Amino acid sequence: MAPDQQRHLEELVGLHLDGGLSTGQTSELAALLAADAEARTLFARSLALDTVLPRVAVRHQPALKLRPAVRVWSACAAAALLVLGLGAWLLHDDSSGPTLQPGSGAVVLRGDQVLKASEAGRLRSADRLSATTTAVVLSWPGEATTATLTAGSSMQLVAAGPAKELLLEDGTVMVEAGLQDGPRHLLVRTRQLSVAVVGTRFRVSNTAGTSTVAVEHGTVMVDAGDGAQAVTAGQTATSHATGTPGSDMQRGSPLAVSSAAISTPSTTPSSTPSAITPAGQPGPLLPGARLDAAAWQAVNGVGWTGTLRPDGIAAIIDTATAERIQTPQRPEGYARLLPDLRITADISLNRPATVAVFLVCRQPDGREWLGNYRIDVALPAGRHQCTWTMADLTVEKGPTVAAAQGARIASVVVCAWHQPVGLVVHTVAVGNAGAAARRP
Amino acid sequence: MDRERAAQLLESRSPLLLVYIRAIVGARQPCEDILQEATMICLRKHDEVPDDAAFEGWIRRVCRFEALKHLERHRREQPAAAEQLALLCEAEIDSAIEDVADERLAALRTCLGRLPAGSQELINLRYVEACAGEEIARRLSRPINTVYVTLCRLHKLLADCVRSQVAKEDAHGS
Repeated sequence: MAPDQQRHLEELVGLHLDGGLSTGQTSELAALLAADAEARTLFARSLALDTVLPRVAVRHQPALKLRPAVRVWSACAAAALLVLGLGAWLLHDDSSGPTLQPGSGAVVLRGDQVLKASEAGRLRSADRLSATTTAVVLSWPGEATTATLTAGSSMQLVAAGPAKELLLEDGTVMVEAGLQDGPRHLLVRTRQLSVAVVGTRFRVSNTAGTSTVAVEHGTVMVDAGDGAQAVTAGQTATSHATGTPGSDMQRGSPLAVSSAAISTPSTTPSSTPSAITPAGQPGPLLPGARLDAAAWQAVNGVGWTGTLRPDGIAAIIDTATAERIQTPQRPEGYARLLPDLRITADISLNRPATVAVFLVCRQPDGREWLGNYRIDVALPAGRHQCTWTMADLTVEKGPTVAAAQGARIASVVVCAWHQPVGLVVHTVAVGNAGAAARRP
Repeated sequence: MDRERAAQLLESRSPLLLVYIRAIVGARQPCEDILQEATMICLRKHDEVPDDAAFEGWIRRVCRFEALKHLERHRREQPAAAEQLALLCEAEIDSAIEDVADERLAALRTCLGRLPAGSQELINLRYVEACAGEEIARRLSRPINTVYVTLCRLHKLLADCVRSQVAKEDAHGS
């Protein structure tokens, strides 16, 4: 069945499951079923599953965004992963580690393993955690302490408990801390500052070199390298990076404490503040990027999904795991969604498949997720060089392509629809011709 | 056929019959009412069925008849094409229903748990909150056609996953 025909069939089947087919559409569906055994299988399968799933499905954690799942690690934060609190290590006890809310969309990196939330069990010291498209809630046993990592954020659990240390790499974590006494301590760190907690509710954001602590209840001690300072309910403390980029711990600028009103942040991906470009301004062209094995190796795979091969990044697009190949998310963007956008891909397939390339886009100012835009192309088995422009994009979610002009392409996802299929991305390059012309 | 045997067969066929009725009617809720009607008829007229072999065809005819009656009542037109949907796909429905038989529901749950978070949200809206496509589209700010297409593809993903799970379990068991 041709992809267009299949899509039309799926639309009719979906409408039928809602009891919404007109007489004409019913006749059309009947004609499609009469002509094609594959169509009959699709129809019967959807009928059966749509009937039985209400008995089986249980509520999972509310998700906020649809595909593609953004498996994100901040590449620019990779160097910070080795920051370990020695004192916390001495007190750590993995049996006291937090648990993840069931059904969470988190990805846990434990050594070389990449685990889903359901496979991770109790979290351990040195686990790295990424909230994909949903917020992730960590709960510590025996105490009323939770940490909510908002969607699109990532952190390392330097020490799991009862002495707890969280290193926020990118995004926002909201903490509600029970009383921290005896062996219990809670330290939340970014590259610029650390927050010592007694028992309170606050949130920490770390984006584009700026760390912010906003306290809702109680008092925390915030240290940006020049001595601890109390930040109380209703106050916000901010520190900007001034150290050498890439160093384990950057020294922050002197802490600026203000009494600005605190609003509860959205848990949509990366709704954190950013100093990238003032809101409403188009901003500069971005340099573009070539995403390949060398780019993977440069960050040791942090932020990537897919497996490194000498000639690219590979994945088996498997029905059970819904795997894909995805670049790290870069909030400042790889390129912009403009008419001069060029996307080139060098990819291999071990069987014919419809390949989909998604561009995960942020608003032109880089502050928030804006939309996902896609290209679908049916390809035979073998290696292919493809080039696309903005005109090839369709909306997966978000405003129209025209309305999204200027958006920052923060991540690129490549997957395939016919499953299982072996997919290798040798190179994906995104860039604006205007930016290329300016390069020496 | 005595009433007890008819009830026994009816119980074992209920999931399939519900799917069969949905092939004609579509939306789930009225189909449950129609199956209830068919059950009443079966328990009243069980002595018209000569034996087990005849039951399957007989009960499907009852369901089809009740489904068509429902469509006529609500659409006030002859829904011949709707009946075709079920008649064309009888064999495929029999096969699809095997994938969701009770003994495979554990595998289905496992497969649901493996879906990416975004897909799980769609599953939640559809099957936990019982939202129709239009409501899902509104809540997710997506075109309704995209919701329908995504649902169909999730169904395929889940069916493939269930078969793969069952095959793995069979391999371990043998």
